[in-house]
Amino acid sequence: MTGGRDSEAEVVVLDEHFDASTLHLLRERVAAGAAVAGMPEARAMDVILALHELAANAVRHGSGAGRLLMRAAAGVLRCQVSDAGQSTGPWPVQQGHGLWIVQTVADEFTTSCGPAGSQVTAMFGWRPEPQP
Amino acid sequence: MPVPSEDNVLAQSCAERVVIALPGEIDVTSSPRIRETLLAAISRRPSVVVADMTATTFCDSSGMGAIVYAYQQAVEVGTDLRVVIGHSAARRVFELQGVDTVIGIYPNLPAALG
Repeated sequence: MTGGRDSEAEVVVLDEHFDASTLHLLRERVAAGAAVAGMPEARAMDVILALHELAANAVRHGSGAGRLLMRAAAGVLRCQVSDAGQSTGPWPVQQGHGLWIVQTVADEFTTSCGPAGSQVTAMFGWRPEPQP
Repeated sequence: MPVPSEDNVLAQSCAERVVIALPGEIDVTSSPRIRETLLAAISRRPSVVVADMTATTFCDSSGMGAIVYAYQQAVEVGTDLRVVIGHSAARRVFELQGVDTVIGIYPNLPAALG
């Protein structure tokens, strides 16, 4: 845990390895992490879907396993999905496919691939809900 | 019910409505089986097939892909494929893609069969 340094401090809310057999569990953990970060439920729904699609891509088109790191700061979740396996090239962005969904719901989205595998970072922001 | 002859199956299935209950979570691990189940039902050419996602709380792009593919096959054989989605989280992937404006999506089973 970091935090407390300044207003930009980020807190790790999830650091999880996954494979095909743990995608269901990963979705639950993402939901819990988004709730801890204070993300409204409707926005969290999109984040759960997007991060699941990234993990599913790593499972289907990458090495079959990967790691998700979620960091929270004020009103924003920064997420990184890495696939340590040998990459066959950048994942395709096609309508109906996982990356298209991520691109649609994320505020920022970058992909990189190199000898160490593929990595996707996605940023999801939200507006604070009015306090009762 | 007696086992009908092949001709009877065809005759019966013309008026038949088939409901297929889908699981609570639909993702890459379950969508191939769902696709096969829907296609098997559609291949018997009932008048209506309902993909019942009443209990489904999550559906990903592969699940939606299975439904869309089944829908295309249904259109080809003249079967009306209807989809029931009870939870907004399961509906989201259909909304993002605009699929909900093409395929008939119902909030519950009685509405889909009505």
